[in-house]
Amino acid sequence: MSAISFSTPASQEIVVSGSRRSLRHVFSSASVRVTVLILCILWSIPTFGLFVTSFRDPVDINSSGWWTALTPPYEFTFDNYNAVLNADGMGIAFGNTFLVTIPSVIIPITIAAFAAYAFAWLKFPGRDFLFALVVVLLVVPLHTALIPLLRLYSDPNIQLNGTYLGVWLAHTGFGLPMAVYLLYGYISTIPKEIMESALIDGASPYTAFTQLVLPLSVPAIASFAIFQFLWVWNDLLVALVFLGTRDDIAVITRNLQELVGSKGQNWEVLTAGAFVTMLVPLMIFLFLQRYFVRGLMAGSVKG
Amino acid sequence: MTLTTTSLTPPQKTAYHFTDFMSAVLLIFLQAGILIGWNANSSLTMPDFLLITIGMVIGIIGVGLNLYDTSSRDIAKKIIFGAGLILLLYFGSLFAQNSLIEDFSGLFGIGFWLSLVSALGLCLQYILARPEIYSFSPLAQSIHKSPFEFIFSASTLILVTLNLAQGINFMRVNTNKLTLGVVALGVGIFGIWLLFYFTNELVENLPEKLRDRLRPFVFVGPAIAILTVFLVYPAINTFLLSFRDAEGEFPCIRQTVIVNERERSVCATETINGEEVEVKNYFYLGNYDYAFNNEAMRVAIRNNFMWLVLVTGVSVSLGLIIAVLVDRIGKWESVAKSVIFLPMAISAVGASVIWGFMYFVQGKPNQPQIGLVNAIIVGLGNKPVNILNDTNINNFALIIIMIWLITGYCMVILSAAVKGVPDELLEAARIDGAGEVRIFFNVIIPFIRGTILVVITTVFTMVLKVFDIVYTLTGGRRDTEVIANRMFRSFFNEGDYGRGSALAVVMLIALLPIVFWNIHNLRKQRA
Repeated sequence: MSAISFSTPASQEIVVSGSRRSLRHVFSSASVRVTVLILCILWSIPTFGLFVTSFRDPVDINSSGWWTALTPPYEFTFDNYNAVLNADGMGIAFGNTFLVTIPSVIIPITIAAFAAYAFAWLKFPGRDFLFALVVVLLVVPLHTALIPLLRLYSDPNIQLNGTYLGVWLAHTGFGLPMAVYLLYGYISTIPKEIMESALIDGASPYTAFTQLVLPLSVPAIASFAIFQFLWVWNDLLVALVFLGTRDDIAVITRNLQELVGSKGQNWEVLTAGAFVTMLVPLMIFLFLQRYFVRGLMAGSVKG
Repeated sequence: MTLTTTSLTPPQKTAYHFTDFMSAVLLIFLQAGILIGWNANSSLTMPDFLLITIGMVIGIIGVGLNLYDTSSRDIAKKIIFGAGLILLLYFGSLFAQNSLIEDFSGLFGIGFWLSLVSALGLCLQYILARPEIYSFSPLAQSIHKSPFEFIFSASTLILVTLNLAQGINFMRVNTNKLTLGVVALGVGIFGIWLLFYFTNELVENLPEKLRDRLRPFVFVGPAIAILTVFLVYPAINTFLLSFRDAEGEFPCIRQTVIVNERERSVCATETINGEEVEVKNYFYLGNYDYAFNNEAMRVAIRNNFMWLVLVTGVSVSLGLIIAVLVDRIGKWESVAKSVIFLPMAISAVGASVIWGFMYFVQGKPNQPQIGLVNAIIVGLGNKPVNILNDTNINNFALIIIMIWLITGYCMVILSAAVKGVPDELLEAARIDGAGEVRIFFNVIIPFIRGTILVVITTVFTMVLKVFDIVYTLTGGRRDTEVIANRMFRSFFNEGDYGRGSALAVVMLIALLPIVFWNIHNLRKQRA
């Protein structure tokens, strides 16, 4: 029955369990079910319509609503996907998005894990201040960073504009507060006795971190990784600012947005293109829902 | 090559496989980095490459032996360490001769030779099996370690840092996507880890007091450095830039003069040391004047206000209602939640296309409406509506997209809170004769007030930054402008850094209450 378990930003585990029997009897259960069913249908119609349209012939798309395709004769085609992946550059952009996303997810993890461990278990002057800084930066919108970074990147000695390195570094910086915060929430809940017994056994803080803390924090790291993956994958702003508008290095969100501008009436291109951008996030949603929810919960305040 | 940093610690310590592994990885990394990676005109010959490969294989075998056999020095290991030593010496001279790294005589060279010498010392100590060698210096005695270890960790740290720098530079200039990806993963996983590892090694070899004081900073240092460069410094810089002109310079103070009977605005000047210079305005408020008084910006602020109120209000209320409802539908709860939550996985650009299709209007007469919304409008006997162009409704159409995206988030968080309401509380209310609606308002809502507040602030933060939807669907035309879109267009399309910065500051100021509230909560948690 319990489907999703996740942690709130304060990281207390809450397991979503089934309904409460007593309530169900009191409230008219049928009307509740119908209401929920209607809401669910309303919520899924837009995506479903897009999905159906992406498999229809362009002539059909423009001559009849997508809902007419749900009755026989069924005429579906993969041509739109062929076109959008090859002719419209979605295929290249798909690869570029992976190239942007994977390092942007991996680079912050080690850095954040070490920092979170220090914040949680080591005493040092300025610790509270620095951690408060992390919490503040969690809310500060990344918009405040764009212009100075863009200027910095254009510096003749640096020249990071339009490079993947520039985007990786930017995403690392923007994702770090949330990574530290999320991992801190997890690492600080490791029982004190476990940590102390490790140190008594002669482990240095470094060993305690690699042998004890890191293996224990794998779920939190997975949550962060998934959150950051989706965030970077779905991002348009950062990619647009730091990668620019060149087609050969553009990511899929930029490509799709460009298509909306240039082919705004060609729904066979747009629907298939939109579905290509959604494919990977939806797979993650379906197969890693547990971590997905947990990551989104903890990270949704990200600036 | 297999070098160990712990093999010479007091003899009772025998389990050191992880360190050995790291050392071997380090040397492989260094060799690959120095020889192949960063220098395109590598002049190495085939036999050299073969020897390097042999060196790496020996390193790997050494690691393997250490992993299987943690008892102290046996003959096989001695041979391997010896072979490693010889290869190290050979490569040392080879590197120096070929100077593959352009500034090999600089830091790189120093780091390299120091590392080589200390590695040599370590190997000798190991082969001779005489750990007492380390007792020759007072520092070594105080930390029970060989001075070679200290030098080795210091010099390898230099090498790792330089290699990282080379790697970063390589990623900056290289354009082959596959190479880029591989190097990024190498640097991102191994490079960063090695940096932490060797900084820690270095600190471990310091006297105890200094060590304990420095160590936390080794761990938090990189994170703080990155946060400073990518968030703190830019935020301050943005604030300063917001008082400057489009190019990020201080504008001059303008004054009106009459030239040829025409009024002209020119820079005011003053004479300093006999030179005439323009008077700069160091407190230029033109960007803020624009932010609050420009017509387009007023529309943007009005719209943002509408977005904030409507999205926050509707999605939080709807999320709460759904959360309470799905609590009562039994086994289908998780499915229903998933359906409502699914849009959170979709990018705002993707959602814009989805809804752009929903709102689409077929302009030509006698053509069937293929957008669902207009099909319904026409089906009810009305005229089709160009939803995104009609200034009466287009903002609401965009707002609905955001509500669709975000309600699932509110629902999932609030659902967890609703389940946290104790059964006894609900039963007691029911026994007192309260109806379900009263229970909802008088029991459930007060009980989960804290969570509702958290959700509201989160949604508020997300909505204020709304950019992609407007940028993709309307570009801010037809009265749909929002601050984030105006900000982006100011600096990206119009190249006006001052204006863009001022708008970013406006967004930040709107979020300041939430910043303070977060700190307040943090204090409460810690107390």
